[in-house]
Amino acid sequence: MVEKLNKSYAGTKVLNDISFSIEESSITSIIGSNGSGKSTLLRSLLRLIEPDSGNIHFLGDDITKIKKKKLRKVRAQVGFVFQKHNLVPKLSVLSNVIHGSLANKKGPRYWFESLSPKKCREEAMECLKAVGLEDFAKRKSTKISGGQSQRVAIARALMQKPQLILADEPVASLDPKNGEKIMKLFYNLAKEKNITLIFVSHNVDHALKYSDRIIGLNGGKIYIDKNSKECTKKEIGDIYE
Amino acid sequence: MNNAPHRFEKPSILSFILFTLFIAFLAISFEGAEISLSNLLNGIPEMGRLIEEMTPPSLDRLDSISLSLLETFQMAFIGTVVGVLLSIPLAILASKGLSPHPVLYHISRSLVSFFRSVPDLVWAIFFVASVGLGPFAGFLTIVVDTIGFCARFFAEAMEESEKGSQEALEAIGAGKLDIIFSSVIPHSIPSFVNTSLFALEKATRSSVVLGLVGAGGIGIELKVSMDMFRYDQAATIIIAIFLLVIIVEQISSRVRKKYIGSE
Repeated sequence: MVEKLNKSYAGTKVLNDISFSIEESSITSIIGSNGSGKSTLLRSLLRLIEPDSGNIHFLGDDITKIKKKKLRKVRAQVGFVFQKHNLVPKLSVLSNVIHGSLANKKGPRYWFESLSPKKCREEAMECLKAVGLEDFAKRKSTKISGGQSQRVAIARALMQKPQLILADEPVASLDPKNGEKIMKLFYNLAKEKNITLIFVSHNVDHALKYSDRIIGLNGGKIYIDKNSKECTKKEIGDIYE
Repeated sequence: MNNAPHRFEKPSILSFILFTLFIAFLAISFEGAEISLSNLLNGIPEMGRLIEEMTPPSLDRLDSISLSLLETFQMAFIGTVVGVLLSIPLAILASKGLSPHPVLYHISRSLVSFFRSVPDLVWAIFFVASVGLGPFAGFLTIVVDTIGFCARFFAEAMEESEKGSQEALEAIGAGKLDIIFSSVIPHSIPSFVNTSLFALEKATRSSVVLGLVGAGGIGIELKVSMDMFRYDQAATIIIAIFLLVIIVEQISSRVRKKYIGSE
């Protein structure tokens, strides 16, 4: 649950008293034009950006109040998928997926796949299978396509066994066909594994098709907060006017 | 009408003063360095005589020269490897954003600057005085010199490494050390390899002169030959040094091309 979240940059309010709550195992899309505060909101939820004021309640904690150590434990339960996949380019696909274990484990055995425990490798292979890339495990992450890289980033998030996945414009750097595939994958995985998913998107069709609820931001304020079935394309399009 | 701007802008008073001081110091430096064309011209026949005495190079002491050359390279090689390994933790401490504390950051930065600014011959004299004559003093000199060179470039490479994957690991709650070894170092490896190979080339060249102050290697052989006016033996040593440096540079260049070229 998010209560009265505020964030300003150089005197400009980017988030203005944002409040909403998310149901477990639901899929929520956050839409809005450039600079409307979507990414700031998503990053503030994990304090990757420190909000100026407000509260974020997750798993019994107010994230805005907890110390660094506790914050790490909270972050460990949340997968975060970025627009540009953010894989380590010099390492294999499998090593990148194994990095997801660093949410809960520490040390050299989780730095590279060659050092990792058998169980961890098997779990990573399962995650790769879930995104359809089990045959790419040994390939360097620079030798796969953008769509495949985003799948690896999803597999890395699954490796955390997260309760919640936050995705910041996960298909923005992909072509429409691959973007559709990735959104479908997200949707299926979230439904199948009962993961709560919040994704930021510019794509109105994706918001309508793949989310249960749409939150529209405009000028740092909530402009729409509706069940996606009740939203019309025109209504959402007005946000971008 | 000519609207083109002036070719030169009028300098500010400060720029003019600085430029005048620069020219004045350049003129004084000519005198300080005792640069003399007549001395150079008078020295040419002497250079010719020296080269004449160097030819043909003598192969009398080829065995001992080869052994000294091997010792020189061993000293350079092991010194570089140890120096590179020690540079990594120091570079982490000296990297903005990775160092665990600002005090540690400043201490390690200063230490690296100190290692780098003291010339290798001065380190060699220091180590010869502390651990005695021989290759061990040379090894220690190369270690310190390599740290001064590598730690700085390693730290810069890590500071400039791509931030996306670091942010991704930070977002899942990974610890700083895990982020450094899983993301920062793998990303910086090509730069580490490149710098280490340059350090090896540099160490090979330094290890040759370290012998002049008694820190092991072929330098001492060269000094003895020159002191005993055996210029033909000195010529053999100089050719051997030249070959060693060329071979190391060639191998290093190939490794660099193969490793970094494939990235």
